[in-house]
Amino acid sequence: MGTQEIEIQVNGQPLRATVAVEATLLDVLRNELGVVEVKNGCGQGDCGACTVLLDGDAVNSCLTLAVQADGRQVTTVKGLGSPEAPHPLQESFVAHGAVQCGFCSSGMVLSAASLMKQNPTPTRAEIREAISGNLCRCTGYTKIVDAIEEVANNARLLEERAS
Amino acid sequence: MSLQSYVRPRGLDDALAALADPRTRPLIIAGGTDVIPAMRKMRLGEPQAAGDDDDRPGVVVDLSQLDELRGIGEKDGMLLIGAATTMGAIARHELVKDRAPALAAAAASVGSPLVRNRATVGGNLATASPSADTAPALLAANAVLGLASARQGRREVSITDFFVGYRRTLLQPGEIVAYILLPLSRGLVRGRFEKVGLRNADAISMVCVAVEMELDGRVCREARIGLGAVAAVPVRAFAVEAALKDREIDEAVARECAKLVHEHISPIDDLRASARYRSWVAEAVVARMIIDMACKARS
Repeated sequence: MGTQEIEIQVNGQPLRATVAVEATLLDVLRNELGVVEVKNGCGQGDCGACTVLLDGDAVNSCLTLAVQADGRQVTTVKGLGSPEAPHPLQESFVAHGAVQCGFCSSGMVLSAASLMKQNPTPTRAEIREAISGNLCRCTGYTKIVDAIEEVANNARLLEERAS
Repeated sequence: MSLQSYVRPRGLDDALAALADPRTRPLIIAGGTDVIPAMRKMRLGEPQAAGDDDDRPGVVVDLSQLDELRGIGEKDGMLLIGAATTMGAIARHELVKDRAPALAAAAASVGSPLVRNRATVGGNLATASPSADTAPALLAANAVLGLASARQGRREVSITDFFVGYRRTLLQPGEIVAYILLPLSRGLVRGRFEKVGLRNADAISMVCVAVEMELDGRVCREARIGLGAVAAVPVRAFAVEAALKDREIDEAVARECAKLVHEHISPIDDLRASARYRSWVAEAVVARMIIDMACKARS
């Protein structure tokens, strides 16, 4: 079985590993690099628990080979903000009770962050579409959409004030 | 599995060279959204007999980051799409939305936003799943596929000839889909795509339909209709198209013509739908799309 040395920038930090060619980015992040805020759910691209940003785009890390991420930027939920300086989306998720068991949360927040980067003032329908690859079995989604919508509304207010 | 190495070619010629030697047992990967779950299934499945080792892929050749295979533009009055362009990039592109709305809608219906940021249109075609969502849209657009290999060089084939059997295409060993060309007709060609699945996201189509029509008022000058998930390969509904040609479309005409779709489809029963249901849905969706396009408000 072939292996290859790779270097991935995880939240701005260069991390090296020797990985099997067929290892997924998800497996290497969790099992080799200790990046366990990325969750392993279905392993086949249905649930979104393993969402990361790859060069800024939200992707399923279970549907990406680790070798394909060699030399590229990976952002996890820890790269968005910290408990001391949370990202507005992280703050809003907490404020709205959009986190229950928490298993989907890191992927949800990253999909929302990816949406807001492309479209800072999404509609509720656009928010629902953007998180349609992330399954949540606790919240019924309403509070998650509310949490993202508030960040969008704040962005809209700022935009209106600026113009 | 016995994957030995990973190659990320610097250019198209490097890629074709890496695919040219069958002894290395190359496995092409682009977005990986089909290949990686297939690899996982093999790993979780029954251990293969030792003798099978020679058939298993050895070197993984990654086409996903080749600039020559990515991007969308206009060339000689045609819309040119690199085969490694992601579904997300196609769905969001203004030129595609404007000139090939059925393709934009088909790309937007694949998987989820996460999948669409990886999955490529070339992969969707080369995998040749009967339910590939971009295939009906490209059939309805009368697309041309640019193929490339080290041995045979470049050739262009019609999408109508590309799918030759269940998960089989015209592609020869070492050959890839390099680009897709869509003729941009000057007439009023309207395109639509509809997918019927079990849910809105992450669904595999049980029926998908794309229609392009050139209309003169309510008279259909030309129609092209592609369907997916209703036969071993994505199909064109030529009989429906011929019946529509130069007819003034009303609801009765649309329903009468849509019945001819059965000449081209042979759906199967599977976990997503029964063959009978697929037949019924295919006819109903084709009829509804024709009525919407010809008789309802202009898009």
